[in-house]
Amino acid sequence: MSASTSNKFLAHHFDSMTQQREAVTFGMWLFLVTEAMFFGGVFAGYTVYYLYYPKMFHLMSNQLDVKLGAINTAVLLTSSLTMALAVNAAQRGNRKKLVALLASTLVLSLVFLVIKFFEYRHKFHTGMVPGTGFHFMNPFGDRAQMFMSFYFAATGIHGIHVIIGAFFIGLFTWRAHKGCYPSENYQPVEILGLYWHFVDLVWIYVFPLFYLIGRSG
Amino acid sequence: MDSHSEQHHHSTTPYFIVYTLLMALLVLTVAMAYVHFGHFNIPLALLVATIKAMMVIWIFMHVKDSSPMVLACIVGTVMMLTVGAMLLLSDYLTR
Repeated sequence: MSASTSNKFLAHHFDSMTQQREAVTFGMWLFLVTEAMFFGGVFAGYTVYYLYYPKMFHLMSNQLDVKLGAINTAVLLTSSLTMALAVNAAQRGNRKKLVALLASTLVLSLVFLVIKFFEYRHKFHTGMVPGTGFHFMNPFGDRAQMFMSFYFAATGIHGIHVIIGAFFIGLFTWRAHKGCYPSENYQPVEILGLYWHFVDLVWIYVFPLFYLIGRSG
Repeated sequence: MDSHSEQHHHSTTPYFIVYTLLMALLVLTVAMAYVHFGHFNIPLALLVATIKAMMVIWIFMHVKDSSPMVLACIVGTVMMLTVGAMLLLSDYLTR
């Protein structure tokens, strides 16, 4: 009883909407697999250097702002909720709700980036950016740059993903407003949601590994 | 309202439940970080993160209702990352 009859959202190389939906979802998941392997490389490097220099990692981790990191985690988790609700609104064909929820997700992604900007700016001001500008006094000397390199690499590529996500969420908000995603064609919104939840997933691991490892002692 | 419609019109209740749990686990991770568990601080933090990740994947990303191929993608990723990490550490930790 599902939409097996032809409709304008069914690409000609698929037999049914169900088949199209499964293929598109699977394709997105394959992309997310490569993304997970990509971030996995950063976490693998982090693990090796953590095991070599645990005390330095603890000290440098304590220089990060837990409050801002936790707030940003909450912001991303909330944006994941609004995105999940947006997909639901798209399924139900509720255009007004869809636009409002996508716009909320966009605002939250921008809030995340603004908070990240202030965190980065603080690191520049206190000489904690690896390279010639590094002059953060600490018992480990220049070696402490290693932690900050991982910090900027991990949060940097994550930040780029947030920027790309924000761009597409903005685009989808506009297209949803124009009525491009009625309930028969909610799937693009669901695929956008998969990407956005993945960005959230990465941060779920980045937050404890960078902000919390040195707090207990 | 929408009884037996063609697409699954899921209730939004699970999303709010998962969101509440995610926020609670965020508070728990931060609180746990200040308690001294010795070598177990990081494994415990990663355990909580993995519970959060599984909820996001299962409910927010609809894997609960997706085809088994999607689940195979995820299991495959975890396996590849595990093998990669094991090979990497068996090198660096035995030098």
